[in-house]
Amino acid sequence: MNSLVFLLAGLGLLFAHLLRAPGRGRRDVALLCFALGLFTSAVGVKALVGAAGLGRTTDFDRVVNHAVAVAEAETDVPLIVFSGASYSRNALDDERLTAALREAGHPHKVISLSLEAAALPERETHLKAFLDQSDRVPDVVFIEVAAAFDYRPAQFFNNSKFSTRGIEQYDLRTSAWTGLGLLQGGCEGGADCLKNLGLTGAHFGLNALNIGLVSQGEAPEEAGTLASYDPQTEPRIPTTEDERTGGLRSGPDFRPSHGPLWITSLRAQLESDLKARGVRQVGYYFPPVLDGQKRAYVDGLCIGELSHAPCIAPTDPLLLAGLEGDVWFDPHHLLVPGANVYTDWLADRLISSRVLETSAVAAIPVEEGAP
Amino acid sequence: MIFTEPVFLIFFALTFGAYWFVRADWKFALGPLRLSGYELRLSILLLASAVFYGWWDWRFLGLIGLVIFISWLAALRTARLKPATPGRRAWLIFAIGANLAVLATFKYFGFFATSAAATMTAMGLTPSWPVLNILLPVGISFYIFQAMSYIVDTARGDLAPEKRIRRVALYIAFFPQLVAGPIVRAASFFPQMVRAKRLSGALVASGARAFIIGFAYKAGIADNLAPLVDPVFGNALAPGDADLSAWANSALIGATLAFGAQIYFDFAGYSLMAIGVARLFGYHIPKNFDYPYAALSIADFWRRWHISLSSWLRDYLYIPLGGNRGGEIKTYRNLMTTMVLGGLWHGAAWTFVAWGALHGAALVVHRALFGSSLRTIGSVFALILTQGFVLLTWAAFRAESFSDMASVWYAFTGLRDGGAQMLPWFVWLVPGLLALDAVLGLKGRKLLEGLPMLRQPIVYWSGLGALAGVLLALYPLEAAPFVYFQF
Repeated sequence: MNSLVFLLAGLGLLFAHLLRAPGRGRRDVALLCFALGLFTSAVGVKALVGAAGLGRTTDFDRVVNHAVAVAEAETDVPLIVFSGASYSRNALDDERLTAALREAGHPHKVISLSLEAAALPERETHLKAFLDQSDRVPDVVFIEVAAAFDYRPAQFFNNSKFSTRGIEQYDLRTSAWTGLGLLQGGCEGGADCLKNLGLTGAHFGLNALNIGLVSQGEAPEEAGTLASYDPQTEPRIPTTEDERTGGLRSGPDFRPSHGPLWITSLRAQLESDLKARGVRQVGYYFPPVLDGQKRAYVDGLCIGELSHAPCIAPTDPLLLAGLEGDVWFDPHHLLVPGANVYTDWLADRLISSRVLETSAVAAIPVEEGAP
Repeated sequence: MIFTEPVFLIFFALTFGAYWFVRADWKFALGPLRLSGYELRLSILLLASAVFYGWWDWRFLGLIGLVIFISWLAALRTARLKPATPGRRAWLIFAIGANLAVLATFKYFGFFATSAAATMTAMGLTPSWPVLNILLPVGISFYIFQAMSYIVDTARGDLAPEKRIRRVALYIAFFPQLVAGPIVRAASFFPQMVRAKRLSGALVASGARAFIIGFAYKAGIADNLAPLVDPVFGNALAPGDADLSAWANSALIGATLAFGAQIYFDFAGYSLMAIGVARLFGYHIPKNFDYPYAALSIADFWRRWHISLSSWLRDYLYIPLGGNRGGEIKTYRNLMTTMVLGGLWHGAAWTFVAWGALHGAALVVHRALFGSSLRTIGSVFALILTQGFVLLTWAAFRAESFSDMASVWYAFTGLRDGGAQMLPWFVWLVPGLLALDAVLGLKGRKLLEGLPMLRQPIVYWSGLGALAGVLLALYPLEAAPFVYFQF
C-alpha cells in the first residue's frame, strides 16, 4: 500500500460528490469529453505513479531483486546472466553452474533470470530492469530460445489471463510485439488468432487504464526476493522409459533456419541494446526437452539465424543419454537430478566454447587441490 | 458475485436489458398461464435474484425458499383470523419462531454450543456434544429480518397479505439488497411493485450516481484500507491469526482508526450501490448512512449509522418491549436489551455483544443526561467525545477476543509495552478522508450552488471520465468481499 491511495481517494471523493448530471446535451460531445477525461486522468495517474517509483509488482520483480542481491554480493567477478522461461527455471541451477565454472578456473558468477511462461518481451523488460537496478553490466547474457514462444507469441495466456503479471507486462511495447507475432501467423487458426488478439488488446487496455496500479502500487525493489532456480523433486506428469528414450533418441534432421520475422527482429534489437549497454557477448541456449523437434528447432537456429553468436542447443547425444532416467518433472521440464546433469553439461559447453575466455576479468588459475 | 466484480456488471447489464425490454402493458397467455408485462418484469427480477444468490452457494436457495414459504403462508393465515384469537397468535409465534430458529441454527448454533460448553467446563462438568460446523448462508441476518418485517407488518394491518408467493419472494430476495441490506420494510416495498415505472434519463442519472459514489467508497477506499487493518487485527474471515503483541501502540490506534473508516466506506458503499441498482429498476430504497462520523452525540450517531437496522430494531423490538413508555428504568432496560441484541445480530461472538452493550450503555447515559436531545454540548467537544467513544468501541467490534480488545484500549493510554512493528505514516490521513467525505456530503449541494459551471455538460462528462480513471487505478485486482457479508 502507498500514500498515493489517499491522494487519489480524496480526488475520487471530490469528483463523486460534486458531479451532478446536467440536463440534456449532445451525446457525441459527452462521449468525447468522457474519453478526454479518462485519457487525461490515465496519463496523469501513470505519470504520478512513475514519479513515485511504483508499479504492480510480480514474481519477476522478486526474481530481479534476488539477482541484483546476488550480483552485488560479489562485485569483482564477471557476470553471466541467463534469461529464460520455465524450461530454464527448472533446469538451470545457477549456483551449481557458478561452482562448476570456478572449479574449472573461471571466476564468473552465473545468475538466472527465468520465470514460467515468460516470453521474450517480458524477459527483455526484466533484463533491462536488472541492468538498471544493479550497478553491474553482465559480461555475457544468454537468452533462451524456444519454439513454443517463437511460434506462439501469446503463449502466456495459456498459463494465465487477467492476472497482475499479465496486466503489468502488456504495455504498449509488449502488446505491439505480441500483436505483430500474431498477425504474422503466430497462432493456430483464425479463431485462436482472434482470441489471442482480443486478449492482447484487453490486457493492453487494462494496462493503459492503470487498473489496480495504485491499489497494488509498490516499489519493485521492495517486493522481496525469489530465487529463479526452482528445483523439483517429484514428477508432475510421470513419463515412461519408452517415452523418454523414444523422445531423447529421436533426432529429426535439421537445417539452418530462422525464427518468425517478429522474434528475429526482437532478438536482433535486444542483442543490439544489450551490447550498447556494455554487455560483451550475447548468446542463446535452450534446455533439454523430450520432444526432438523442439531441440532440433534450436539446433537449426544455432546454425542459421543465430550462427553469429554463441548458441548452445541440447542435442549432444551424451547429454541426452544422461537424461534417459527418471529425471523428468514432465516432458518439458527437469527434476533436480536432470537439472544437475544439464547444468554440469552446460558448464562444460561454456568452457569449451571459449566464450568466457575473453572476459573483462581474466580467468583465475586453478589452485592445486582446490575442490 | 459482488457489486464491484466484472461478472456483476455483466449480470446487471443482462438483467437491466431484459427488464426494461419488457413493456409493462404487454399481455401474455401461455395456455392457462396469463401474464402481464409488468408481472413478467417481476419474474425477471425474481429469477435474477435467484441467480445472484445461487452464485454463492446454490444449496442455500432452498433455505431462503423455506423462509419465503413460511412467511407467505403465515401472513395469509393470520390475515384470515380475527385479531387476538389464539390461532392467529399461534401462527404469528410459529412464523417468527421459525425464522428465528433458522437464524439461530445457521448463525448462532456454534456460538451457543461453545459458550454452553465453556460455562459447563468452568463449573467442573465435562460436556460431550457433537460440534456442528454449519456454513453461514450469506445475508441470512438481512433476509430473516425482512421476512419478519413482512409477517409483522401484515399482522399489524399495515399491509395486506400477498396471495402471490412470487411477490413475497421478490420482496425477501430482491437482489440489490439481499445480502447486506439496507433492510427494506415490507410496507414500503410492496406498493412499489405495483407502481408504474418508466426508464428515464433522470432515473438512470440518479441510480448511476448512487452506484458510482458507492463504488468509489468500496473499491476506491475501503478495499485499500484493508492492508492497514488486516495485518494488525488478522483476517476478519479467518479468525485466529492476529498477534497484537508485535505491534506498537500507535499501530493499534492507527489500525482501529483505519477500521472505523474501512467499515464505514465498505458498508455505506455497498448500501449506496444497492440503492443505485434498485433505483435503476425503478425501486426506491431508503438511505442507510447519513455521515455518521459527523454525529455530535451517540443518539445522533445511531440515527446516521446503519439506519435501516436501527429503525428496524426500534420498530420491531424496542417499541414492542415498551419503548420509553414505562418510566426511565424500563426505558433503559429496553435500550440495553435492544442494543445487546443488535450487537449479537452483527456476529456470533461475545465481542459483538460487548460492542452492543457499550453502545447501549452510552445511549442510557446520554438519555439520562440529555433526554432525547441530539445536540448537547459544544460542537467540537461533542464531536471529539462521540467519535472518540465510537472509535474505542470499534476495537470490540473488530478484535478477535476480549484480550485483543483490552490490548487496543491499553494502547490508547500509551502505557502498554507495545512491539516494534509500525503502520505506514499515511494511516494518519484516514481522518482527513472521513472529514472530506462528510464535508462534501453535507455541504456539497451548497458548494455546487456557488459553482454552477460544475453542472455544465462538458465539465460533468470530463469529470466523470477523470473519476473513472481514478477509480480504475484504485480498483483492487483481487476484489475483497464486503465486510458486512459475514453478518
